[in-house]
Amino acid sequence: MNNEQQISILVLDDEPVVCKRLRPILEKKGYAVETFFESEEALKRFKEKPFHIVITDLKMKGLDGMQFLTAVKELSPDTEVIVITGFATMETAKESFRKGVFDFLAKPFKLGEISDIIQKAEVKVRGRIS
Amino acid sequence: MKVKLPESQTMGNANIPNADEIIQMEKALSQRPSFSIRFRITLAFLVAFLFSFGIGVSSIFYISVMNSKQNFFDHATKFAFTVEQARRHEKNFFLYHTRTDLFDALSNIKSAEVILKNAASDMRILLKHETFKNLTNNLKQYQAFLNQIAYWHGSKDDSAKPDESEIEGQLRIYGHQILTDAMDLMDQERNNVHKVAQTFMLAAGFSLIINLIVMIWVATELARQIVQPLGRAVQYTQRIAAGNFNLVIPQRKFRDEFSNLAIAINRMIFELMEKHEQLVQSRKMAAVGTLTSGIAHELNNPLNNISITTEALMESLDDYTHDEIMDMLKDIFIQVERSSATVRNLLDFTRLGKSKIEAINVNDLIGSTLKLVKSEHTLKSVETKTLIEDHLPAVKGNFRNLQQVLLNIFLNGIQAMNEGGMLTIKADKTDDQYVKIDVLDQGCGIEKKNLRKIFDPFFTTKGVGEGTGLGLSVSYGIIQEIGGKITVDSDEGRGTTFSVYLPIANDSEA
Ligand SMILES: Nc1ncnc2c1ncn2[C@@H]1O[C@H](COP(=O)(O)OP(=O)(O)OP(=O)(O)O)[C@@H](O)[C@H]1O
Ligand SMILES: [Mg+2]
Repeated sequence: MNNEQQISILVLDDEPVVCKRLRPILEKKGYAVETFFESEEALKRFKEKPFHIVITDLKMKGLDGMQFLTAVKELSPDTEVIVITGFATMETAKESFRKGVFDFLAKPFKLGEISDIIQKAEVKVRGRIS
Repeated sequence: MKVKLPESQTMGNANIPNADEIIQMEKALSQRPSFSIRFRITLAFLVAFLFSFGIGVSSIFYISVMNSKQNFFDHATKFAFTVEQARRHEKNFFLYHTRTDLFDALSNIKSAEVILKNAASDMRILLKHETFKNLTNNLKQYQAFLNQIAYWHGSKDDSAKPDESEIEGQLRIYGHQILTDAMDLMDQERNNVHKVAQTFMLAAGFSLIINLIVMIWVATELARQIVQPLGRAVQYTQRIAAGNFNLVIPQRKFRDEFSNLAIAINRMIFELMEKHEQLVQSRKMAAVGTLTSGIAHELNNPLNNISITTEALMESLDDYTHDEIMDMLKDIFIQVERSSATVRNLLDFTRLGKSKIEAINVNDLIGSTLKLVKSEHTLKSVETKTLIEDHLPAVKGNFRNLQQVLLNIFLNGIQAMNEGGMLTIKADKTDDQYVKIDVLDQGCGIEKKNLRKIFDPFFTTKGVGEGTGLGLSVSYGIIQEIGGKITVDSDEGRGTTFSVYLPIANDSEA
């Protein structure tokens, strides 16, 4: 297990608390985590280095979540994207899945729920790597 | 009773009528002395009738006068004719000395006498006593001479026979006198009849003209008295349609059928007021409806923050240092505050209740409304900028209603900027009367042909379920009610500016 490649995760949410909380928890689970409040910066970073997993909020100032995940999927189709959102209509959910989102999580979520989803995504990613 | 009228009926006085005022105004309207239109029409027709009646009566009088003149004239003619006959026979007698001529002359004179006697009653009224007497005397003399001749002519006794030629001379004089008198009489009467006929024609023409003038006056006056209040009623309805719900106040010193109309209009205004209030309220709910996604977002985010933070603490409290735990608890506290502020703001906005007029701080107004749309504009990647002049005076209005006006305008601006953009809100004092709030967007703009219609109820260019078309019309009503105004200026394809003028609160009200 230890010699396996470390899974990298990018967290993007304009709510600082989400970033603050997820980061230590995920790091403790052995992921390489980077967090961003702003989508432009996150995208810039992603262009430098593609991540295995991206967790993004949908509703944000500037470049919104949907545009961000579209860009991510274009840059790196293998990246698994997990969407978290404060409010989702059926349309946004459908659109996200059409764009190849791995899963869709509504706020407020439990830490257990997001961990489960990340784990599943990890399995998928690892299957692809090996 | 006297009702005090306000100087002008501007929309400035934001007095929303209440039930008491309605009753008071109803009393004022109905307690004036009654002078109904029905009564006025009857009166007008009565006057017109009396006038025509007068004309009729005087015509009858004139015609009867003419009639008697005509009778007199007839008598005079007949008299003159008979006397003329007598004189002809008289002449013949002196020429041919036939007795029949003499008798004919006598009988004619007798008939003339009868005519004169018959006509005496008519004539005596019209003729001078002297003239009549002269005429009768002359006739008598003439007859006497004739009789004399007749008497002597038959007898053989020539001794006592008077001088025939002398009698002939006397007869000539009297006969001539009578005839000229009769002729004069005839002429005089002819002239009289002429004169009377002329005055009658003149009087008839004159009264026709006067009648025409009276009729025209009656007609225009009646029309004015009916048309004027009708025009006022039309004005009232236009004023009400424009959102000015001031009550109709008595304009005249008396009461008529139009007073009932005014009372009915006042009742309608009251009903409309209530409906308007309901509409404003339901619009608020609708606006909240369009904000649902934003509100959900606005609440779910802090809830999520609280949830994950508490969960993290519960799972591994021992892993965190004291400072970290403190920091996390502070986060929770702040997020609770944040969600309760959202809820409070929303409740404030939608709270039911009479719209009380108060003095309002423009900064608070803009700030709290921006908070309501915050999530909406972040969702649409619209940025906001506020440029509010320092030390703005307080404005007059109802806080929640004004919030709604700004909310409607902000939402319209945000909705117009599909691609994102900047929503600029400026506030400054234009003059001593108003504080102006400009809301500038960089959206699609409004087509020229739609500019006039955007304040109409139910006018919308948005799809079913996206817009009710009530936002601006309700806003317009709210602003009218407090004596302000909304103007719009739009550049198709580049953006729109809405300007809301809010009346500055007096010091006494602040
Ligand atoms: N800022 C704006 N930019 C472009 N068009 C506007 C703007 N504001 C209003 N309009 C036009 O005016 C119409 C009427 O606006 P209004 O707010 O009364 O109704 P609505 O926005 O369509 O519906 P509602 O407000 O009830 O949801 C809109 O449909 C739109 O066409
Ligand atoms: Mg609208």
